[in-house]
Formats: sequence, C-alpha cells, structure tokens
Amino acid sequence: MTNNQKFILKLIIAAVAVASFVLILPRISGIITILVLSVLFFTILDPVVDRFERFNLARAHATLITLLAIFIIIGSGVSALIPIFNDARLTATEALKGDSLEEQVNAWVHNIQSSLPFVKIPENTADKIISTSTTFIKEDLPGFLLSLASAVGNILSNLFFIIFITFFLLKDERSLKKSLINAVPNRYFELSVNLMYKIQSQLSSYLQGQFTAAMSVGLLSTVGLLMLNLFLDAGISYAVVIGVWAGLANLIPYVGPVAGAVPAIMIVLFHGPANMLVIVVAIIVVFAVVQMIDNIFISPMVVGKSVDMHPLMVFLVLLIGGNLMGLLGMMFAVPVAGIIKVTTTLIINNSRRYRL
Amino acid sequence: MGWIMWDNSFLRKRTKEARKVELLEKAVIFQGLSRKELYEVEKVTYDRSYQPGEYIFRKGNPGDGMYIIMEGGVQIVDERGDKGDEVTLIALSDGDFFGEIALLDESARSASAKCTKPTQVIGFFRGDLIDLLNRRPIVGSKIILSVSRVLGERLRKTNDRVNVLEAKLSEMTND
Repeated sequence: MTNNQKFILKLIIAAVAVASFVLILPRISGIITILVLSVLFFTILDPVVDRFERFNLARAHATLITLLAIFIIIGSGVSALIPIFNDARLTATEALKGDSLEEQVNAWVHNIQSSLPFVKIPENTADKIISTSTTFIKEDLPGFLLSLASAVGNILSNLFFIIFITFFLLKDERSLKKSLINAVPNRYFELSVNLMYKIQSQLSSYLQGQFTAAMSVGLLSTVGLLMLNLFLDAGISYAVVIGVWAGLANLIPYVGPVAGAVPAIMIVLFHGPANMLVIVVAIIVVFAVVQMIDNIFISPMVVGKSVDMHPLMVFLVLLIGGNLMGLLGMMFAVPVAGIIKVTTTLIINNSRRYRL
Repeated sequence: MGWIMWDNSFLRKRTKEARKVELLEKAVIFQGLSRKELYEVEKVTYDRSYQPGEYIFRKGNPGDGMYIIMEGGVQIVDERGDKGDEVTLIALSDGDFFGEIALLDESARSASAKCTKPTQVIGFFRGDLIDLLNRRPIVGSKIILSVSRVLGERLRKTNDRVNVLEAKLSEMTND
C-alpha cells in the first residue's frame, strides 16, 4: 500500500469514526454525563481516600469510610434544610391567610413602589401576577408536579449510578490505571505514565481549588447576610441556604454572583421592610465585596491560573453545558472544560518533551 | 470448568506477584521493606515486555522512573554524534536495576536502555513513589532513604575518583 493510499484509508477511518460518534452522541449523552460526573467526584475524593489509607486501612475500607462520611455530611445538610423549608411553607401559608390573594399581591406591589420609587411597575402588574398564578394552579400544577416527580426520580437514579461508578473508580484506581497503561505500546509507555500522573495531580488540585473557593464564597455570603440581619435588621431569612446557593452558583462564572444575590433581594422585596432600598443596596454591596475577595484572594490562591479561559470561551462552554444538562450542566461546564484544557495542554507539552 | 480456569488464572497471578516481590526484595532500594510493604510496592509497579533491539528509554527523554529486569538482557548505551553511534556503558541481566535517579528528579536520561534479548521488566515510577509517600509514608520514606543512600555512595565514589584524577593532574603539572 502506498503512502497516499494509507493516508486516504486513515482519512476514511477518521471520517467514519467522527460520523458514528456524532450519530451515537445524542443517544449516549446521558451515559457520558454520568461518567464525567463520576470522574469529577473521583478526582475530588481520591486524595481523601489516600488520607484514610495512611491509617493502615485497606483501599476498599478507606473508600467506604469516605463515601459514608460524604453521605453523613449531605444527610445532615438535608435534614437541617427540611425544618427551614417547612418553616418557609408555614410562613407562606400564614401570610396568605386572612386577606385574599388579590389584596396580598396589591399590597406587595404597593410596598415595592413606595420603597423603591425609581422602579416603574406597570399598573396591571398585580392583575397579571394573579391571573398567571391562578392559571398555573388550576391548569399546569398537576402536570408540573408529575414532571417534578419524574425529574426527582431521574436525578436519584443517576445519582445512584454516579455513586456506584465513583466507588469502583476509587477502590480499583490502581488496577484500572494498570490495565489502561498495559494497553499502551512500549514507545508511548513512559509518556503515558507521566501524563496520567500529571493530569491526575493537576485536576485534583484544580477541582479541590474550585471546591474550596465555592465553600469560601458560601461562607462569606452567609456571614455577610447575617451581618445585614444584625446591623440593619434586614430580616433575610434562610441566610445559610442563600449562602450555600451562592457558593454553588459561584461555579458558574459571571452568572454565579448575580444568581447568588437574587434570592436574597427577592426575600427582602417580599417582606417589604421600611428601609428596603438601603437593604437591597447593602445586599448588592455584600455580594460585590464577596466577589472581590474571591477574585483577588481566594481563586488565584486555590484555583490558580492554569485553566484561565477567555470570557467568550467561558460563555460558549456555559451555553453547551446548559443546553446538554440545564442548570447542573452550567454548574459543571467550566470545571469539565478545565479538565479538557489541562489534559490537552499536558498532552501537547509532553509530546514535545518526549520528541514524539 | 469455568471455576478451574478462574482458579488457574488466580494462581498464576499470585505466583507472578510472589516472583515480582522476590525480585523487588533483591533490589538495593527496596531493601529494608517488610514482605507486606513489598506487596504494597508491587501493586504500583508495571510489567512490560520488550523485543531485542527495542529501547526502554532513550537518551535525552525526561526521566520518570526505574526498571528492574525480571528476565532478559539490557545494555545501557550512550548515543554519540549525529549518526547516533552507540557505545555500551554496561550490560545488565536478570535482577539488575537501572534508572533509579529518575525517582528523584525529572532531568533528561543521560543514556539509553536497549534490550539485547526478549526482556521482561518491572517499572516503578516517580508519580507512584509520591503516591506511596502520601498513602503509606513509612514505605515511601524507606524507599527515599535507600535511593539517597545509593546516590550518596555513588557521590563518594565519584569524589574519590576526582581526588585521584586531581592528584594525577597536579603530579603531571609539577613534572
């Protein structure tokens, strides 16, 4: 076979591979998402399992203890949230008692209009809100509840698969790594071992950095909102929940900070305290300061500059993530893009060093 | 039938592991490790097979780890000049090890390792040594200590040779 024929054959194989991938992708995008999330959790949890191994524990036991610890932490968080949500439900029910829905909405709109006079609310807004809510409750609620139940079921089953895969990735990390490396030809052996180690350590520190940054933003936001409650009597209920949300939302660049502040402002607008304008401005200042602290101190320290991306690229990545998996996709889009960028850069750099 | 096949492959694996542990035990840098600790090291090593004439690594490539010869023969060669003429520095056989300095730093390999016959080696890499240091600090520290001892010994020998050469040089200049 001549070189030209070989080239054409390779081209045909590549075209067939790309075409089959594009055709199969929509059918397996769910599986790919589960795999990507499992690898993400494995990378974050691997150093924790390693830490447990220090106490002379077998890998399987260390993995089980780590996952159990995570379950306990998440379980405690959820059980702490249940009374808060219950409390919110009771408050809402209490608030709707007595006056009619129409009176409540009118009073609410009037309150916002008088506290924030520069905000122009069209005259028929109250009617629109009432008719939309009534239509939703009468017509769309059953369907919405059904789709909500199906979505929750879907998330729970996906979560089960993710935990299952993460467990085996953590437990059998070394044998899986060996099997992968065994398949590599001798010529690329050292390069592959080196690459695998570097990718794993860079990703691990990047993801742990993202995690630490999200935790710090969550904590700072909570403290900021609690301080507003203390000094301005802001009455922002669920400051901890809003803080956790702000921390999670922080994974989405540019959009995150805004998404964090919105629920706090909504709560203040709903309650309508006398100094509403001051509190709304104070909330915006709190979230702006938290973002500044994150951008200047936390992120450069814990996440590093290794995965810096152009803002345009970040938006593109967010669009793709949102398109594939909605809000969850947007949250994990940048870390996943970070993984791809780190891996590609290392492959290119290492290939040069090994003169391949 | 399936059970017997599984049993045989399981036994084969255990025998191979035991053989690898025996070889690791003989290598200077793993001396001082207990049997249990050696099995811990065995888990993070790689088995590779090479054909005669095949290179395990080339001069100038980044150093990543060391190798122990399970079976076969390896020549450490220096590739010199534009044509890459090879000068054999040392010939190694079963149980010998090479490339251990790469466990400590990533500088380029100073020579190439070329197989002279069908060869099976065990590879142990810096990334896995760091991993061992994180997970099993005592095992990792023992290995680091042994590598340092080997390097210290070589440094002493090099110093002795430099002293001899310096003495000869001063004799020559005096003459």
